[in-house]
Amino acid sequence: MPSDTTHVQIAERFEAVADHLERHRYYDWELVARFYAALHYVEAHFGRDRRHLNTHGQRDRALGDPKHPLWPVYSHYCCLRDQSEDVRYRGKEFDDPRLTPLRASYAEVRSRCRALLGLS
Amino acid sequence: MPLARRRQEGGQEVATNQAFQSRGTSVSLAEPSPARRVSFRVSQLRPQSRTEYQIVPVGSEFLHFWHYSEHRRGAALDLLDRLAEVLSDLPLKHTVHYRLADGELSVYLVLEQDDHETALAAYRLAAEVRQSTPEVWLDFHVTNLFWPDLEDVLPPAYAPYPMQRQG
Repeated sequence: MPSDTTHVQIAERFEAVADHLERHRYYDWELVARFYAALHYVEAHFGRDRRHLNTHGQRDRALGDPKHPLWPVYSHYCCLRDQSEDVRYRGKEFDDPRLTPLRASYAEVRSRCRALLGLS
Repeated sequence: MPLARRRQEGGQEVATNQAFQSRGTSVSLAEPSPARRVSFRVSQLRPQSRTEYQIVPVGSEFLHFWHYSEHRRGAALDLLDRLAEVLSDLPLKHTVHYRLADGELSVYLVLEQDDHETALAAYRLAAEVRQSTPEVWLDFHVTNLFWPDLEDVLPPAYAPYPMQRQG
């Protein structure tokens, strides 16, 4: 399984993809890329403890515990997950203004995970 | 998903497939090996509370499954009641839809309009309610009516919970 460092590298690549999609106004798939970047930041956090969560349900169980260090960003992560599923599976469409709060949610997950990982 | 390979046995309808789905409720079962195929008697397709249907298993393995599931079913529906009550405080008009299968309660909150702050609040509320019933996992999602028809924004097999907030 990827190490925490590898997960961070994957997250950074996906974030670059999301930024590219934003510049080219592919907002739906920008959201998908941001969700997967968030997922890899979360996985990096667990990877530091040599834990690997293989399903969305396992991540939900872990982050949804109020005692978990990532609990403060749990609802932000859930929003990214559900909204990106609406895009992927049910064709929900986004424009730039409607994506603004979800970009903020991504920033919350990213900054929390990076802080816990000791990254800037 | 249609009920496959039905046959009549003792005046009761028997299904030998591994998945049953009817009117928004599904029960999925692991695929048995050919030698261990077990029949299920769908004794009555009578409506239960909250649009549930009852399936009476025949094989001993699935009797165990059923008892296990029945135990959790009551706890899950209690959890659903508490969740719906808590969500009723949300400021937006919404509906609650649920699916109960094998001890897991899946819930979709459908907001009438897209509202990020309401969704964030709903996830936190659901997580807090979830803590009260650790034996049942609450799989909670939020969406909105981004298509006019509810069936286009929900995954299949979710039943409406009889609670609708008038905004």
